[in-house]
Amino acid sequence: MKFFRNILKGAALTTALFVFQACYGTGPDFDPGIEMSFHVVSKQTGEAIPDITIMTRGGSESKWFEVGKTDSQGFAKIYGLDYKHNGIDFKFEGKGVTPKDTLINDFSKNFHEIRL
Amino acid sequence: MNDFLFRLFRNGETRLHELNYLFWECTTRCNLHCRHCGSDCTMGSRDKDMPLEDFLGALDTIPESHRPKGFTVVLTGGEPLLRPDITTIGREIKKRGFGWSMVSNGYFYDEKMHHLLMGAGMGALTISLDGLEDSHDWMRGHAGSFQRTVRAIKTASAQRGLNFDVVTCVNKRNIRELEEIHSTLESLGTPQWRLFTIIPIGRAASDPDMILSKEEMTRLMEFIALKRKNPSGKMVTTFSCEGYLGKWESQVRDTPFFCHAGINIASVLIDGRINACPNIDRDAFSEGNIYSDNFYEVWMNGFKRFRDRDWAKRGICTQCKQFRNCLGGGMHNWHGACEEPLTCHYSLLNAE
Repeated sequence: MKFFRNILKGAALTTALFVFQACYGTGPDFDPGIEMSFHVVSKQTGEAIPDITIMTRGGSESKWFEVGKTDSQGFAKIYGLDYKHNGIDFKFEGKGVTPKDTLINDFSKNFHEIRL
Repeated sequence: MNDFLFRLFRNGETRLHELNYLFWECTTRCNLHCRHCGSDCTMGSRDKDMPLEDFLGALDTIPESHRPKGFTVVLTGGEPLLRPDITTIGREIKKRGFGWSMVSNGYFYDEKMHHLLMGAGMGALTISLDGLEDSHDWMRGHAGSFQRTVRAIKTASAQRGLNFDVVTCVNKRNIRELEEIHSTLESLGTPQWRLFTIIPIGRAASDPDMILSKEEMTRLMEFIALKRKNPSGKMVTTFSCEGYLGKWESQVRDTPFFCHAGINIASVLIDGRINACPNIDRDAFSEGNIYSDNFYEVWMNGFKRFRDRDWAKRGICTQCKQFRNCLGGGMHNWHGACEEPLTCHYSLLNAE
């Protein structure tokens, strides 16, 4: 049964059969997008920096918007759907550190160490 | 696809009952007071928000080998954006290999919120728009909500890759505005517009403005069919999956009617009860509770009434020749003692 279903699912013409939406729900999240992990550390001491705001540009005016924050160990994971199409500009800022802008366009690598 | 083949497909899906769509009613608090609300949500809801760890405990019972591509956890409410931990929720779901999405009234959905949610991995979104400005604000019980919702729709529509749609509950008041709502949504860049009708539960049960007559229902079908046949732009207009429509089936949606509740869809309700869609009668159809049962075992071994719907051949369905296509309509259509479905789209649309 499952084998037959997989063949059916693989056939382009019938894929729509499996894409449903509950009456009062959303469509499915079929695009896992990409995920990027950051570890933010001090340039001077190498120590992890918590509570650093991570921003990307967005909106019609290309303003900076927060997309995540580092945890107590200096780690943050950011997800995105659009990132795989373009390079993306990240900005890192927080208390007592000089903000940093980084352009990332190599999405084969999903872990990035950021030194502030 | 003809009816026979589709029934074969539906029977196969029912036998397999692969879970791939899970609602979490993460709050019943709501900032609006909608006339049609099926949950009677209010700002001061009696129910406390379910702690994230409790929900994750249920989610973690799903074996990793049973998390198919596209498995989506749908955050619903109430208004999910009232939860201050909404991005933590998204990240924790994503970390476990599931996609996630949200149903929102859009009131708090600005550009700042949009980027926070996208950064937390949101992959799909539905926002409700219930008419032009006066009708929407009337329906939502809050002046100014239309403008906030339009802002949200504009922001979400511009996001590449996000599976986004707008839903409209069609009622006696906004049915006259469908053409203008269509134009408004197209001008905002909305990729998909889904229309549905309201069943008489919650607040809608005592509001005569909410339920469409036969003529109005027919007008709605004609409108959707026309927009699908002669689209004026890229936006796809569709009718939701709420009930069997007979001759209108192929004209107003992509696939024939199939209620996936309990076959692919489950929910964890605010008090931990396990059900299918959150608008299904909780007392009549809940299958267990995450606070006392293993969620995935309940999914695998429970939900019998969802997977064998012969019991629904009663009341007006007893003699109906369409029962094999309809199976009593959507499960949310059966309430209380379940003697009859609350509404029958087929008889409303197809009766002489």
